[in-house]
Amino acid sequence: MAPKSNFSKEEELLLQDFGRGLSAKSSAIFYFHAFIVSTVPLYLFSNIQQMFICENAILFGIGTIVSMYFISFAYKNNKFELKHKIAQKRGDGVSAEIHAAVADMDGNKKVSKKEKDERILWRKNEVAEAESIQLAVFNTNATFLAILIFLAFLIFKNYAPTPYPFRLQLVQNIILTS
Amino acid sequence: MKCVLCLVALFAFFSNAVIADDTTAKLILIKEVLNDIITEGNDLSVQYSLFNIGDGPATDVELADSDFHESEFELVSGMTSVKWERIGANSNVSHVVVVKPLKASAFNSTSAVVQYVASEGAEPTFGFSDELGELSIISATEYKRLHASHVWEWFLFSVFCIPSLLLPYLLHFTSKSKYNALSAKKKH
Repeated sequence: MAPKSNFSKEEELLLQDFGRGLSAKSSAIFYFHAFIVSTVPLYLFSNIQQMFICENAILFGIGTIVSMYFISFAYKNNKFELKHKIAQKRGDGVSAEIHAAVADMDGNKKVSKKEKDERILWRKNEVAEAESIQLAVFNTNATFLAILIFLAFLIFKNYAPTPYPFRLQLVQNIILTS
Repeated sequence: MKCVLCLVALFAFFSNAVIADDTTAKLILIKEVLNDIITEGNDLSVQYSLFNIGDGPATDVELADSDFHESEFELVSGMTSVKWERIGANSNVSHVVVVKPLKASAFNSTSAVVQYVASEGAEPTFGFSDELGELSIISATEYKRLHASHVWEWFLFSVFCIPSLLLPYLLHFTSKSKYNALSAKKKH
């Protein structure tokens, strides 16, 4: 028999909003961006390092999948850290938005303070969620691409036999620990 | 004594006269590759320079180089066997051969040979150029990887990065600006 959860419905909602878990939409966004940022450098490897895609298809495929996993993991960590900071900063702006929205509503229908606070909290969470996702994607992508280009085309430019997997693993480890 | 001295002077005069008429040519052949990098499919220029450091002209000069086989090189311009009727004393000539390597591999370059007549009536003399040793011919792929500027590739890469970098940042910046403006408005 499964143990019953000790949290109330409101507490579960709060945990869902402020925990590390991702919604289906957030996961889809993260995997989509991880796929794009993992495959874009393949163009450089094939045209500059002359590692043609047909000849290195298996290597590139495995590298892309591994890279996607680690980058989405980095997105998740980064987003969790950013969300709290952004939520604190957007508090005043969101309050102003909700107050303006309530004032525009029908004058006969009075909105209680509790309902206003709930709306503010919900809207703040929504805004922080969206902004933290966008900023996490930007930060992680920029870091990943900068380190990849620095290592792949400056430091390990002439690494043999193939420069691709070693550099990628190094970059991913750096991002994971950041 | 005077008679002996006269005889010695006469002997010295005639021996010098004999030496002054005995002029021979001496050719030095220098073979050099003008390219810094030798690439498969790109022109390779080889220059042959002949210097006559002797006192007399070299005649019936023939230069031959058998390094560039048809199976490995395509002749673009110049000839691998050249003839000059005469190369004067203290003068020089040069000849450039342009070939195109057909394969990327290590290539062992041997000496070119020059045959000439050093003085009138003499037997032909043979001379050899310097050996260039082993030359490395890199493939076109390797050349592009190492030496091409790749400006177009970097430009396209930056365009491909726009969805990954610029779009998320713009979305975040738009939202941030909106709520900062609302916050500032609320404070006033």
